[in-house]
Amino acid sequence: MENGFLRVEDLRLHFRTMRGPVQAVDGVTFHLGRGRTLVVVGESGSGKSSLAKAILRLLPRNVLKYEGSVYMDDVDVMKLSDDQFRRRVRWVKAALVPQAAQNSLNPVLRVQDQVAEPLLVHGKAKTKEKAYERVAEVFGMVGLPTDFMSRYPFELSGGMRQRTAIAMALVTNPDLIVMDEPTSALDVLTQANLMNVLKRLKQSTEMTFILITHDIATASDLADDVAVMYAGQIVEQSTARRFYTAPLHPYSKMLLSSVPTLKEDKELQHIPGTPPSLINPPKGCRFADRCPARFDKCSQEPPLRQVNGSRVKCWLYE
Amino acid sequence: MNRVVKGFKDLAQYPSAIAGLVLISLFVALAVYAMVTMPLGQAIELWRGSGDVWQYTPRNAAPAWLNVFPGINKPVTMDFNTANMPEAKTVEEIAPGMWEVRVSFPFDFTYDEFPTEINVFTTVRNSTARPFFSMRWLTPDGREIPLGDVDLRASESFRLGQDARLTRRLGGRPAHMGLFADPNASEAVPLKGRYELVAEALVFEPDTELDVRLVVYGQLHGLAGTDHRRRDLTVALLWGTPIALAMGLMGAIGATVTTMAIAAVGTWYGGWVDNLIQRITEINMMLPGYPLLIMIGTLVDRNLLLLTAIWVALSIFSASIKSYRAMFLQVKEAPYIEAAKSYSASNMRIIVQYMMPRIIPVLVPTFVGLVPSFVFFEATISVLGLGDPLLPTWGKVLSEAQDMGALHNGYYYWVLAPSLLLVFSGAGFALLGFALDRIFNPRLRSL
Amino acid sequence: MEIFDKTMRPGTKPEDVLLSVEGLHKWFEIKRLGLFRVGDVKAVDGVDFQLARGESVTVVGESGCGKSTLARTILGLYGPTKGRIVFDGRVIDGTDKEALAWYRRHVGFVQQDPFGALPPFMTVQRILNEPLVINGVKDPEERQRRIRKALEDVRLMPVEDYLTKFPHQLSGGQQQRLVIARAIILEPKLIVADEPVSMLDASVRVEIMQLLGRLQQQYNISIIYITHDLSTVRYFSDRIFVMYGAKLIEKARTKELLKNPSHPYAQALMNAIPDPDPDNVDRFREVPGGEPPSLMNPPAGCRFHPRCPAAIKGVCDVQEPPHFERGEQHLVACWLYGEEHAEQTA
Repeated sequence: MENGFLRVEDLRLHFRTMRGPVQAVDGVTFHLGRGRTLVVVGESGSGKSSLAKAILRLLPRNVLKYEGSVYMDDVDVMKLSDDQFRRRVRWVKAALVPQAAQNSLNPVLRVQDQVAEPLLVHGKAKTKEKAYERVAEVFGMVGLPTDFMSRYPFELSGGMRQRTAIAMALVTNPDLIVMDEPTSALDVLTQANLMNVLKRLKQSTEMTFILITHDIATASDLADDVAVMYAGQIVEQSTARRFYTAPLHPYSKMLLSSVPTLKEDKELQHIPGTPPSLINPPKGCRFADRCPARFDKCSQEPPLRQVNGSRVKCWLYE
Repeated sequence: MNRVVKGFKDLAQYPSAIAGLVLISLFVALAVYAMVTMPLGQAIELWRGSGDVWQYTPRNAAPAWLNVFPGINKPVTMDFNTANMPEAKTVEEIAPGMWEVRVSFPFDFTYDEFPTEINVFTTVRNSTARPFFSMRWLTPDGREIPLGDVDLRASESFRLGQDARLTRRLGGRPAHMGLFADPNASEAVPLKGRYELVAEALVFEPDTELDVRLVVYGQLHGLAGTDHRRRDLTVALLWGTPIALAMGLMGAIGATVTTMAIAAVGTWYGGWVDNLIQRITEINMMLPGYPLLIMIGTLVDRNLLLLTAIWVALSIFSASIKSYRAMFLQVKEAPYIEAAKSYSASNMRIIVQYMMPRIIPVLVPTFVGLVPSFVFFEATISVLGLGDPLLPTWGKVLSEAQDMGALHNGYYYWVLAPSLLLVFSGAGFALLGFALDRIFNPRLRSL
Repeated sequence: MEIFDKTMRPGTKPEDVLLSVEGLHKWFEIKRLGLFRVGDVKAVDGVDFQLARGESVTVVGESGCGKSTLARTILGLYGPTKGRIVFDGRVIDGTDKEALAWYRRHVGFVQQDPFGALPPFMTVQRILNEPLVINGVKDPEERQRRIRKALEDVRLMPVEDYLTKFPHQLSGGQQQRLVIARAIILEPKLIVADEPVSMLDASVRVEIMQLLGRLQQQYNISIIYITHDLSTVRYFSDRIFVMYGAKLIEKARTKELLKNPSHPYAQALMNAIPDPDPDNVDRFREVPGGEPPSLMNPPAGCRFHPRCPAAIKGVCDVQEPPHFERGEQHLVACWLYGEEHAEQTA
C-alpha cells in the first residue's frame, strides 16, 4: 500500500465564499495501490466530492488554496502546468465519472460521438472509425448493446446513461477512474446491475478506482479499501474487511451502526449533533463535539496514525 | 429590522450599489427640494410663462457657471430694482407740490463681451398726473449719454436696444452694445469699469411711488440657462425630477407587480385562464407600441398619466410575463406548494403568500432596473410630440430644444442638462439594480 | 364497514379501520399539442388496502412504479379516476369540499426533500402557523401553544432558538423535523410520508425514522410510508406492500415478507439491496435486467413477466394474476402461487 500507484499527500482545497473560506479538503493523505478500489465515504458536506475534484484538478473559479502533492506513478501531478495536466493526466491517466453523470451528457450529440471524443482529442484514435471500434469495445465492457451507440441520450434510460458515462471514462483506458456517487440517483435494481458491471470491470482490468459515496452498504460491493471523510479530512483509512468488521474511529463506528440492514435485525443508532461548518472548523479533532469517547487531548488535532495496517486520526489510538 | 440592516450591509459590499444609492438619494433630495420650494401649480404657471413672468431673463442664455472656465468671461444678467434697493432712490421736494425722485444704479461691468439686451422698467402708483422721467447713462470714461425723457404711464418698459434713435446716436450699435462699447477701439469691445444709470423723475403728488428696474441681460443666466421663451430651465429641470421619479416608480411598480400577479394567476389556474393571458401577450408583443401611443396621443388625449397607463398596460403583457410564467411554473411544482395544498391552503393564499414571495428576489432587481426605462419613456413620448402640454419635464425641455434646433444653434446646454439628468437617474437605478441582482440571485455572484 | 384486506391483523374490528382504499385508480391523460388525447398514464391502476388506527404500512417500489401518485391520491391532492377512499367512515371523493377539508385536517404529509417542502421565505413560526390559520384555529395563544408543542414533539428545542429561523438556517435533519412538526400540528390521525429519509445522510436517517416511530406510538397515528429502500422498512412498519407497475403485487406483514419474499420482483428487490459486508466484493447480485414497464402501455398479463426469470409462457404474459394467499396475511399477485399452476406442476 505504501508504494502504491496513487499517493495523495497533505492535499488542501479551500474555496472562497461570501461568508469566508471553506476548507473543503483540508490536509488529506492516502495511498492507493494499483488495481485496488478505494471507497471514500462521508456525509454530505464532508468534502468528498471536492476531494475528487482536487485529485483531478477540476476546480471551480473560487479556489482560494490548492496545494499538496498527488503522485501518480511517482510523478507529482500537482507540479504540472494546467496545459501539461490536460495533456498528460486528464483522460490519459485519470478520468472522472461526475455526480449525476446520467444528466451530464450533451443532449444533442449521439452517445458514440460523446464517448469517442476523448479518444480523438487525445489522439488515441486517428480516425472516427477507429474511435467507434474502441467505443463498441467499452460499450461491451459496461454491458451496453452496441446498437445503442447511435442513439441520443434522451433515448436511453437513466441506468443506460450512467453506463454511457462510465464507458466514456473507460474509453481512453486510464489508470485511475474516480466515480462520484455513480449510483445515487438510480433505482435499486438498476443500481445493483450497475454494481455488477463495475465489479466485472474491476476483476477484468488493472484499473484503479476511487468511488465517492454516502451509501456505506452499497460501497461494500466494490471496496478493497475504505477511507472515511469527516469535515474535510480523512479520519480513517482501512481495508474494507477491517472497516466493516472492526472500525477504529468513533465516527466510523457510529456511522456503521446507523446503517439499516435488511437481513439482520440490529438496533440502529444515530449520531447526535451536526457536522461542523467547513468555514470555521473547530480546532483539534473535528469530531470531538459529537464524540462519546472525547477526552482532554481531543482539543488538539490528532495525527494520522498507523494502527495494525489502518490509519486513523484519533487520540484513542496513541 | 435586522434583515433590513443586513440587506444594507450586503449592499455596501458592492461599489456599484453605493454609487447607485448615492445617485438615487441625490435625485430624491432634488425632488423633495423642488416640491418644497415650488408647488406644482406654481411650477406649471411659471412654465406656461403667461404674462410677463419671464421678461426679466435673457433669451437663450447659457448657464452662468460657465464663467468659472478660464477664457470665458461673458456677462451674466444684472437686475437692479428700486423695489429691492431703497438706497438707490432718493426723493427730494424741490418745489412745493413737486418732488424729484432720483434713481441711480451704479455697477461694475467687467466682462469681455456685450450683454444681449438692456431694458428699463418703471411702475408708478398713486399718481394722477404723469411723472416726468428722464434717464442718463454714465460710462467709466466719463461720458454721459442721455437716454431720452418721457411722461410716465403706470407702467412702462424701455427696450433700449430697440430704440432706433438711440441706436443711431450710438453709431449704429444697439444700446446693449453701444452703451458698453469702448469708443476708442476700432472693433466692438466692451469698456470695463463702473457704469451708472441715472434716472430722474418729477412727481407731483406726495404719495406717488415710483419704482425703476434696470435689467442688463447677460449671455449667461442662472444655473441651467434659459430657453427661447426666456424661461429659466432650472424650473423644468428641477420639477422634472419628481415627475421623472414618480413616473419611473409608478411605471415600474405597475409593470412588475401587475405582471407578476397576472403571471401567477395564469400559471396557477392554468387552462383557459393561462391560455387567454398567453394569447393576449403574444398579440400585444406583435403590436407596435410607439405608433399606438402616437395614435392615442393624437386622437384621444395627450395626458401623461393616460399615456403612461397605456404604456404600463402594454408592458404588462410583454415578454416579461413569459419569463415570470416560466419561473412560476417551477415554483408551482415546488414541494412546499404541494404541502400547502395538503393543509387546505386556498388558491388565493397559495398565489399571494406562497408563489409570489418566491419571485420577489427576481422582482426587486427587475423592478429597480425597470425604473429608468419609464423615466426614459416620458422623454421619448415628449420628443415624439406626445408630451403632456402642461407639465415641466425633462422630456419637454429636450423636445423643445429639438424643435428650436438647439444643437444646430449652439445651445448645447439646453440638450445636455436634461440628457445628463436622464442618464444619471437611469444610471443610479441601473447600478443599484445590478448589485441587487447579484445579492438576490447568488448564482450571478462572482466569487 | 367490512374488512376486505386479508393482510390486516386478525381480529381487527371494522371500527378499527381508519383508512380504506378501494379499487383506487389514478390515470393521467396525455395530450399531444394540448388537444388530442394520445393515451393515459395509469400511475395507480387498481389498488386496494385497509389501514387500522395506529398502524403503519410501507409501500415499497422503484421510481416510476406509481407509489408517489398513490401517496398523493390518498392525500387528496389528486382526485381518483376510479375507486374511492373511505376515511373514518366518511367517503372522500373530492366532490364534497367540506369533507375534503375535514379529511386534510386529519392527514399529515411528509415529503422527500425537506428543503423544498418548506417555503424558503417563511420563518419556522410562520411555517407552523399557516396550517393552523388555514384550518380555523383562531385563538393566537392556542396557535402559539400548538406551535411550541409540535416543535417539542419533534425535539427542536429550545423552541425559542428555532422560531425565528428560516429553513436554510437549519440542517437537513432539522428541516425534516420541521416538516414533521408541520405534519402533526393539526393532530392528524394519518401521516403519509413519501420517502422521508431518502435525501438525508445515514446518520440523520435513523433519527428521523425513530422520531416518526415515536410519534406514531405516542399519538396512535397511522403511517403510510412510501420508499424505494427496503432496508429502512423493518424499523418501521407493520406491513409491507410491494408496488410494481402501478399495482400492489405483494402484501404481507413486514417480518414475513423480509423472511419469505414470494413475488419474483420482491425477491429481486431483496437481492439487490446489500447489507454492509466486506464479502460483497466477491458476490454478484442476481437481479433481473430490463426496465420497469411503461405505465402508458403496460405489458399484458403480469407486468413483471418481461423481466421475470420464472415467467410461465402462455400464463404470465396473457392473464393478469389475482392476489393469491400465500400463508397467513400474505398475498401475492403471481401465477407461481396460483392453484391452477400448482396443479400443473404437481
